[in-house]
Amino acid sequence: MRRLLQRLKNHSRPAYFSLWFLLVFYFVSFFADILAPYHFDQQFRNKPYHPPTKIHFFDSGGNFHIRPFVYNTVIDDPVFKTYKQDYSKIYPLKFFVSGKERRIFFFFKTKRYLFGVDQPAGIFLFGTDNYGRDIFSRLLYGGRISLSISLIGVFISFSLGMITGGIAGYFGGIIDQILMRLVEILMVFPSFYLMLSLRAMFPLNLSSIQVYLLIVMILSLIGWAGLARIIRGMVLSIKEEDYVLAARSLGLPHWKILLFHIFPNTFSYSITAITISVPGYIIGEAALSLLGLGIQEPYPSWGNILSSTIGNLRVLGDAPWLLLAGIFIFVVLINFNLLGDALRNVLDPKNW
Amino acid sequence: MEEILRCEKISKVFVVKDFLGINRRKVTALNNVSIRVNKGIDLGVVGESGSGKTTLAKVLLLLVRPDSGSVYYRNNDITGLGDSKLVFFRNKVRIIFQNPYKSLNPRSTIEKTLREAIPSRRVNPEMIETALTQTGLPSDYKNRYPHQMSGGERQRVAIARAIAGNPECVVADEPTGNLDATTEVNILKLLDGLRKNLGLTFVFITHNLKIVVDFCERIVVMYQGNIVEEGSVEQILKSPLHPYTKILWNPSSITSIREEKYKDFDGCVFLARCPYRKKICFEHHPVLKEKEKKHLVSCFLYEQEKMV
Repeated sequence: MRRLLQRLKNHSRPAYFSLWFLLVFYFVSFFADILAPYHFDQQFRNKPYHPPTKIHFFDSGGNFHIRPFVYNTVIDDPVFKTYKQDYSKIYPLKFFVSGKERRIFFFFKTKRYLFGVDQPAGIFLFGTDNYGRDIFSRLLYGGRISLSISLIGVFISFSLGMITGGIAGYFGGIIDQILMRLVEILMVFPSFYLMLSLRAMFPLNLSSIQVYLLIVMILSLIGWAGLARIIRGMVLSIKEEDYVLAARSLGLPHWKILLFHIFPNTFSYSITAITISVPGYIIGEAALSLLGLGIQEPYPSWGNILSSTIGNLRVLGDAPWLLLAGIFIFVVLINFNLLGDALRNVLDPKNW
Repeated sequence: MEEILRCEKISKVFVVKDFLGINRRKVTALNNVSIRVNKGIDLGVVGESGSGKTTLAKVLLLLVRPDSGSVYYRNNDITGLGDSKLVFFRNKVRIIFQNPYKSLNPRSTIEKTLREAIPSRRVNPEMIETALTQTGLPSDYKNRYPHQMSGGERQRVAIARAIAGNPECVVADEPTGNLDATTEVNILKLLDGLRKNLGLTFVFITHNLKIVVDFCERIVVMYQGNIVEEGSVEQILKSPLHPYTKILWNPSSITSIREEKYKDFDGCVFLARCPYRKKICFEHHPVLKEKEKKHLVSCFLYEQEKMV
């Protein structure tokens, strides 16, 4: 593992950076309960569409404060949602503030968050949405859903695709025919409509956990068909290679031949295919959320944060910070693509 | 004489389809081939490219299933057995492939490759190192990948893999076909040493008659999927019977190349190139018959007496 990291570093610095970047993203999302200053559904009704809070070191008198601070803001124009700062009192930034108890993944409880300011001031690093909810906190919580859906979804569809494609290609004959016809049936449907109709089979009023699992299942059920098809083709050619014949001539069982001799030689394709398909899951979830079929409010995902902005031109103009969810998606996609490309080369022994 | 491996009346036809599957062409790789491998008697299989030698090797190991005929291991018919029931046989008869650049998994270290070849459940590092040193490779090669080795070294690994299971018989399919002359000599020396030390019996498949003469005791000559002559080395060397064998000994003496006008006749396979063809050769296929003691040939030249 360490050697692999070193190879990745030597092979491509950008990809190595991407790996760490993604790890940080996953880490931050995982610990959103501690890192986010507000809970995702905490509303500041008097501060809708609040722009990102300014953090100051110098007060209105020009004095320097070693501890950064914010001013409370009051609404200036209730129609266009402009705010002005109230210079009468400073609210210093506090670390490890205590607040309402949150549960980290149902197991641990925490009362302290990484940072915050006293009420009634608020610290909104990325501004607030129409209900006055902190976008930064919602992005952290939303990353938890968007990033984990993509990982779990990819894992399921990759396993399905590899197993089906591998079995179909390796055993051939009637097994191949049955499996591939199945895959083709799945592939003839346009994936987006398939996604919608699968979602439509289930009631709308599901709990958030149920919706989450449902979306993972839907997305991974759609994604595996294409992979299976290509893996089958690769297995068909690889199984005729001399080293596979040699493995058979040693009397190895089929599963060992598939697992150790055939699958590793499909990696040049499949590793790239996996990392490139990760973005598809984030976008798929975003698309479902956009149509109101994905993760439901008040639960955040990058998709439904973004969807709340699309179709509202005023918001795009006046509160562009709501589009940060899109930038998060974009950045994660780029990093996954970079990493995937490099991983394919790094996992090939010929490049060592 | 202890018989290890025997195949009887093996036939294998490959159907070659064109893109749409309309035109089908049949390629006869093996036609009614029977050979017998006795313990301690190395068998050489000689023939030019396309004579079905490699298919014969694969059929002997049941890596390719024959269309008809049977393979016997120690007098047990194993033709119909599935791969999972053949494990005992796989450990006793091993194969060395022709091209060491293709026969090693590029994604496995040498250690992993050899580990799979050793049938015992607990494989300790010494066993792998022994297998390597037996073939003249340093034991630290086990951490290497195939692409980090030369062709000769790879072939040694392939040999180490074949002998790791302690087999009785090794089918070597042109083991020096892709190697240069000096490496070839070294590999042949290695195989010779292994044969003596481990008591192996080789089935040596090659197009190079000189190797076979040095290496084997019995020779089978194949032409287009048929056995045309079979005999001991002295017999084949001193008194070759079949016209094809004579050509093999002296390739420059080829009198006629394969001619198109003979291709529609369903007679002897060697018809098109035979300098001694007769009327009967156009109509009938000669049967492999014993001419002298344990010297078999399939040619009408030697059936004259009976025919008349």
